[in-house]
Amino acid sequence: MNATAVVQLNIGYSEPDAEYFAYHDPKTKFSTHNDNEILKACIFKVRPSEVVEFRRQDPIIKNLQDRVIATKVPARWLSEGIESPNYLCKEKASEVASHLYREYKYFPERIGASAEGGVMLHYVNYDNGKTLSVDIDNELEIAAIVNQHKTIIKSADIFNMDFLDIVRAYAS
Amino acid sequence: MPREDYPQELYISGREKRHTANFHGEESLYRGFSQIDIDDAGQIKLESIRFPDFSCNWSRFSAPLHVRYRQNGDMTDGCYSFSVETARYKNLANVVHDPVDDIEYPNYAHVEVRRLMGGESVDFEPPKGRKWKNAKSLKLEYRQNLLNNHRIELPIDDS
Repeated sequence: MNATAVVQLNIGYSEPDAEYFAYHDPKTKFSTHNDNEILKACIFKVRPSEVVEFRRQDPIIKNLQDRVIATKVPARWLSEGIESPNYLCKEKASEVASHLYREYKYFPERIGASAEGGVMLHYVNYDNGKTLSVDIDNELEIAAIVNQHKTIIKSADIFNMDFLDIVRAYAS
Repeated sequence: MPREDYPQELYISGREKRHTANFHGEESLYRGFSQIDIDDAGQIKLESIRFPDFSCNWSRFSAPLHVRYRQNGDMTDGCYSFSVETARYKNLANVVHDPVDDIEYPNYAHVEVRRLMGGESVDFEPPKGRKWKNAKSLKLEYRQNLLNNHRIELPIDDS
């Protein structure tokens, strides 16, 4: 039986060293990679039947992803027929939250399930009193809106993760 | 049978359904809310606003407190209101009187906010369950506008 395990390492921890490899009797170290979400990763075989992947991930990105994944519809909403956010929606919302943090250093004030089925990310700009709400629905469509003092400043449908116009309205 | 203290105003009592053209723009629509609908500052959350096809009580035939007497309602629920005019934002929706003839929860004041298609006037009564085919940003804008124009009529009873 092939068992796969993923172990998250916090930033600041060193990669597994030779002693670790020796202790766990690794047979092959077959891949290392970087990508947008994982700062560093090291995948290696510990035993012939066991593959372990070590990842080092930005703790803030991980926090955002964990919060999105943990999003659920309250029981009372469920009894009113409100749809829970589906898995793909949560993945997309996680991608959006990570993108807005990496590109603009925006960190959501609130992440919640939407009564219209999906996930909503809510940001507050304390410099100008504007709010930015991003709605990712279960059909994976993304809409965003900037509001200030009970006035809608701008709304837009978002394609290809292009938040530039909406971010301009939110930041200015 | 409804509970003993059920408000008399909510019984249908042989009254007729009113046509959509009877709604006045400045009249209020009442909607119940609970702790799950508010943020840490006690404000209604945008994500809690539904659209289209959501239920309210018509102010002409009910009081804010009456939102507690509904299926799934709770005697601690709060109530917020918005105007019929707000419900008709950009002609995206219209208000339809839809009395509930239920043994346990009769409600003559019940209305539904339903989606209006392009070219339909505010005198038209849209059917329930229309799919949203416009831009999603317009739907979000509708929900935000409702939030921007709501008023708390009755706070949550957390005593």
